[in-house]
Amino acid sequence: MPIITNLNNILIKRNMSLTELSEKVNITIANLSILKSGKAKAVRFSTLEAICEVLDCKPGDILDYIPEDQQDQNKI
Amino acid sequence: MQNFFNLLIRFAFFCIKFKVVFELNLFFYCFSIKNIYFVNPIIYSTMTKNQKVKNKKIIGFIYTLLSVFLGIGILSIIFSIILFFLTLFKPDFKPFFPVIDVPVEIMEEATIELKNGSSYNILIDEAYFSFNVDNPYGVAGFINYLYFIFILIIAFYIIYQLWKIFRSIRISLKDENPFHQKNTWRIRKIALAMFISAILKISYPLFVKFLWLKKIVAFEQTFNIRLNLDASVDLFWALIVLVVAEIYRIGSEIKKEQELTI
Repeated sequence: MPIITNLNNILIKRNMSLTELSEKVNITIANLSILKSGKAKAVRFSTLEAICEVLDCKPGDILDYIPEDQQDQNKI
Repeated sequence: MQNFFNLLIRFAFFCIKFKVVFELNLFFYCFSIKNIYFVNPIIYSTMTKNQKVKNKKIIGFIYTLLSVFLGIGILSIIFSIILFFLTLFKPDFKPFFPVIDVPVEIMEEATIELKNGSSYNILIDEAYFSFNVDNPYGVAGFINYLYFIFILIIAFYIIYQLWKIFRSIRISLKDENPFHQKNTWRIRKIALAMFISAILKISYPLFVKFLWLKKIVAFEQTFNIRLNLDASVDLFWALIVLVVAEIYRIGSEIKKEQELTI
């Protein structure tokens, strides 16, 4: 999928674990794992707002767009 | 004049059947893939607790009913097979089934008398003759028995698939996820079984007519066997079940997308 998440990088920068984040934004760890692993199909604005508020960042810091052919090139 | 009205009524029934098919097409289009994003998948989770408890009770009741029918089906099949072998080894033993039902061509004038004392002339234009065809009829008797047991097995298979569907729904109610990929295939199998059953019912009188039975003489008259076109309604039911399978598949996809929506 061209939309990728940088949640892991932000969590490391903020020195926060996934469990702490899930408690603060009131989302299950399972759902956050889906978001972190890139398997999510959609994200609600309310969820994005809650995560950005807790991590003190912008949506662009968490989400990025890389075309699929570029992703394949990076893998090679 | 009577024949004209007869034709008109038959034509009306014909149109109703095709209207059903047309409506089904329209219904299916409304749930087609391009409209999928306009359907709200959150409806199930916003139901009240009472509604959920009520739904569980309904599903539990249907599951119990299906389990009972399943038990009856297994007993019927075993009973039929035992009776068949009893007939083979004990020629004196004559079971009351399997009975053959053949639709016959008939055009008889008759009179109906109503409770208010009035009477009217009618035309009997459809009739079924039922008679027992067992061991003494040789190959024809055996094929008749096979036809009967095959229809019974198809009916049992349909109930078994329904039972499995409701069992999976009952188990998954705790997760609030009644949609499973396997259930889509089970519903499609039910449609296929109904289709095969309909084809058998339509074509069996044809087999009887061309390969075995010449004519039936009764009430000092000769009757010819006709095709059982009434069983063609089963084809429409098979179509309806196929539509339900597609709706279920679309529901599964919506549910899966909802699960992956954070």
